Amino acid sequence: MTELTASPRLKGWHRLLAFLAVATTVVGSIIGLFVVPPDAMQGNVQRLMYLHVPAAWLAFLAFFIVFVMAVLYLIQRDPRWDMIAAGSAEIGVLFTALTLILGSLWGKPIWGVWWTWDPRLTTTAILLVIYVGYLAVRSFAADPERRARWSAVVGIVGFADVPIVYLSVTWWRSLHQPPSSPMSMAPSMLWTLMLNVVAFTLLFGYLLVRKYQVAVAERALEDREAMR
Amino acid sequence: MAYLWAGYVLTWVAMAWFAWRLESRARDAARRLKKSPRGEAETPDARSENESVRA
Amino acid sequence: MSEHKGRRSGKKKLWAGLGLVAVVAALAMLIGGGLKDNLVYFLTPTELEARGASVQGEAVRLGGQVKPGSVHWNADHHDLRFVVTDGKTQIPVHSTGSPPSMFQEGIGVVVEGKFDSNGTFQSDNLMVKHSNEYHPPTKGESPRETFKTLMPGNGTSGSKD
Repeated sequence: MTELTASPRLKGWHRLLAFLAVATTVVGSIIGLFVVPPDAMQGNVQRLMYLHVPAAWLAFLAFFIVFVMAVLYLIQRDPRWDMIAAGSAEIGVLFTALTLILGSLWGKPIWGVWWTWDPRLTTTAILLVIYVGYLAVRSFAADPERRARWSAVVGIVGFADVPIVYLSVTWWRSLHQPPSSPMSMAPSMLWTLMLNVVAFTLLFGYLLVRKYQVAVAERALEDREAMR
Repeated sequence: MAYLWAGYVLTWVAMAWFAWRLESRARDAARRLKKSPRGEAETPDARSENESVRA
Repeated sequence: MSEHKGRRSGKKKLWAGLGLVAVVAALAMLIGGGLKDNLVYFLTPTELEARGASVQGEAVRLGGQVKPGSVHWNADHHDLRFVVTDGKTQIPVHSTGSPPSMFQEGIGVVVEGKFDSNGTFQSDNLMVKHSNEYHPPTKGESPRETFKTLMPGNGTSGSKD
């Protein structure tokens, strides 16, 4: 298993990614908070979009990576795929929770409620529970192989909810508005949103690389302890 | 606007907290790898000893 | 989260098991309760009217547009009356308390409540649906002006905009 730790080329990555993530997050937040004009209808609260939407997209991406890695793991049984899946799931849970909380903070002043059981909100809550479940399965199964196998199944089946969340606003009546498009948004707002998507993506990249490195190191430690 | 600031501050704090937790785990793993018998061979990230949290 | 840290104790496994049970229970509740009842999140005025007396006194969600010119807001008593329409059917709604700040004529709303004996929909919860369009205020227009006309203490309160 020690060959897993031999990935010296990965070493510098996370620093560069971390730096870029912080830089773009700072710039993105400043532009989102102070530079771009507020929405005519909603006023300043609408600026929450620049965090809420990227958080949701990155949560989707994170769970997509879990899905792909789970499939790869079941085919190849390479523990590295499992490590990436586990890291991605944990970051996805963070971003899903952020999406829900930011949406709630946005909903209270605009909709008038913190929460309502509309299809978009309900399916997103389910998404969070599914991947908290994924993490629970991982801490429940002690044997690494069984842990990887069980969680891969959860990661594949659970991903079904992602397109449901995305399409919920098109399929069903909801309080949540349908997704915005470049046409339904002023160009300055679109650019601000895109910048923040880039920031969140860089942050996601940094966290995922780092999670993987830590997982590899901890696996190597476990193996050494086991050999003693 | 209280809702707006609550959202931004919470996001920054959540991100920083997550990254900080991850970095301290990385430091811990690097330290243990060094100490362990074959630690000199390949520590995945010994340089993270003096890492500061930047995210 | 901490599954990599050394050997697992029986206690930890117990907690993980309890966590799993909680997750499964939460999922069952969300899907069975939340989602099943909410696939039709709200009824349109026409659908609600078609149900007629069968929904009298029963809590339902009504969704539609606030009919322009139908809003009557009494700022002193925090008493709001308006008509929800889907273009075909109109349903009078009565609500107490301040409406969400975005509330205005012509906007989409979802109202939770029930019919009283007079055929007025008594709202327990008034929610405003906003569009997916975002644009800055045009020159001379200040943001968030639109809804302030309904809020008490803004000089223009008491009148409908």
